[in-house]
Amino acid sequence: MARAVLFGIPVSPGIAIGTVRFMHDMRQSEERHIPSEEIPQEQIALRAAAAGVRTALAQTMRNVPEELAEYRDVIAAQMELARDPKLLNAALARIERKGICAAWALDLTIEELCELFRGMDDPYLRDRAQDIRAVGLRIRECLAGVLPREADKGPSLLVAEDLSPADVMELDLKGVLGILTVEGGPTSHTAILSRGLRIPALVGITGLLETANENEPAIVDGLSGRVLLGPDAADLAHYTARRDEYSRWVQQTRRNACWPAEMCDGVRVRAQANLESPDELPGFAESGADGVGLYRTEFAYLKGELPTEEELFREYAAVVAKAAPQRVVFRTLDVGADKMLRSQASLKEPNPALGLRGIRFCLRHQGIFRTQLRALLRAGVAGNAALLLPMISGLGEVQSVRRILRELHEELQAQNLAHATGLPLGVMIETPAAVLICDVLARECDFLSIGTNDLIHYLMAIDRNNRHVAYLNEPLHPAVMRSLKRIIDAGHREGIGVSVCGELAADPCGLAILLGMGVDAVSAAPCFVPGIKHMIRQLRASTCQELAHSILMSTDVQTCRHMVREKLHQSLGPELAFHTTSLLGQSQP
Amino acid sequence: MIEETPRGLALRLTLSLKNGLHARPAARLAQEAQRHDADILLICDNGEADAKSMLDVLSLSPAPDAELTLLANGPDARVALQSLAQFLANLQD
Repeated sequence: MARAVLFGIPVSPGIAIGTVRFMHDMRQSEERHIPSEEIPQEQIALRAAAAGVRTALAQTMRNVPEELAEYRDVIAAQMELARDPKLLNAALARIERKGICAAWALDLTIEELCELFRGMDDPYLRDRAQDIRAVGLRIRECLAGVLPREADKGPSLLVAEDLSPADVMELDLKGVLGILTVEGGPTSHTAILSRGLRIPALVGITGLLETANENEPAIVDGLSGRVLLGPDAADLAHYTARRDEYSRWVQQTRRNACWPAEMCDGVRVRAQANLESPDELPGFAESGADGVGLYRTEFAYLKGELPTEEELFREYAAVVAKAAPQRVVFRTLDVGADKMLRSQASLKEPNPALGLRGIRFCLRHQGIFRTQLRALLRAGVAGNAALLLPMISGLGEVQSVRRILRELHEELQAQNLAHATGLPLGVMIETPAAVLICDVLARECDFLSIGTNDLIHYLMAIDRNNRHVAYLNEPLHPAVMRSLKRIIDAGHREGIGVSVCGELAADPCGLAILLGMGVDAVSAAPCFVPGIKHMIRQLRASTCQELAHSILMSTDVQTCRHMVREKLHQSLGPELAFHTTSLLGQSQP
Repeated sequence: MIEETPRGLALRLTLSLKNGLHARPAARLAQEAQRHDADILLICDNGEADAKSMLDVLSLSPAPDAELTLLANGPDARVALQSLAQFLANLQD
């Protein structure tokens, strides 16, 4: 394979050197007509393959650790599929009827079943097509004598069209050094998950599936957004050195992670972590974060059935207890857009991003919301917790939540259940409406939190999944900059803190500007926190203020970009290259 | 109440599930059904499904509160119906 360079959007920093492994088997399987005397032996081979898959899955099942009990259900369902009479009998009958080999008959059957499920009205059932395909692939690999996925091929770079949250749940990430996908953007699930796992990742790589070959050596440069396929000796030497240099820098920032985020001229801010699940708690502890600035609560809801109050309570209490005495800010359920719950998907909204999501969904489905709030109030006694409401667009929503909280408090008191009273209540500022009334919201709340990803999408009126308008995703746009300033000032006028928990907080340019605007806290994936704190310690508040001022005065995005790069280069020197900046154009000098 | 019908032994029951027969309960149901030799059919307004096939049960997708008929044929049909009815009554999703 000739040397080739592809470009993508860097979404998780670092450099990885390994061999390409396709997430989904792209090879064409055997398609062969067989003489009738071979029919019985092909049928026996298929039965044996299905049995083999079941045995392998049973083995995997035994190795699932206690804390990942939900994986067992996924595996149990796959085992059941591997012996499903509908699947197996149809394939066996096909071998005989059509006189074709087992692999071909299996492929046709799987394809037919997937079509059937994909055509269904219920989105939950449509998604099951992916389970059927996964099991089909396993049986096929077993038929072809390929070793099961579990016994893997060493350090690999995972290549896929796209990764959904469900994919990742089923994925064995041991031995995965880097992730490359064709679809996705800086705020896609692949991006968020790979950062959480500290695996370098690039998304939006055009031509990836056509160019890459299974088992081919490759290099992922998650700092500059490049993939090198079939690298030569010079590339390998260069990147090995760069990888080591970067990892030394990372180690240094991690060693100093518990030092405070205090700027050269004594201004201190809080650098907090964004978390998705209790699994991330070990990483949180190492990151030196000043509390959890954003705990996303959606993962417990993505499993097809609603979690109970007890399940939620256990999850939240564990997180609160672990982080104590530092604060954990729980964002209440933010479903909608691409994170659909079954009950919500049935609405079939033509434009879910502008539909019933976040607090709108919760106030409509109050049963779900109250269960979560009860769990949160009860978990509050385990330490220092706060509530954060997503997708707020009016004061009425905050007042409704306050009313519900009062009712739940009385309910819990009547039931004699221990619970926290007066948990701090904050709102996400992510809609243009919330920006314009942030002074009103600030009077009703205990803190404000800016979700920069959604705020930019809604301000610029762009769909995050639409690549045609991705060029409008411009954090330096004056509309975005002015909004940020307005929110931070409004919070300070009312004497409450303002934090930023979007991707912008992890971007060196974004961070410098936010510091200059006087933000009180920034929150990012745990892997970024040591680097963010390290950077904050190298900056001066006065320099950042001047920078923010100049940016706010300017209306030209290109000028702003040069300005911010230049200032950062003066303060950080060559270390600037170690901070990934996915939001502010990489290509600029 | 098990009745004899021309198609085999039949038992009517009503589901009471929160989220319906999705992947997990369907897998458990199929597993339970496979412990018996009898052929077992699951019949509801949407159609019929082989109770031993998780895929079939899933694609039948009975409503969470559907009226179901279980139909069994075979030497252990009666035992199979009783145990499946018991299983569905205890099923929590």
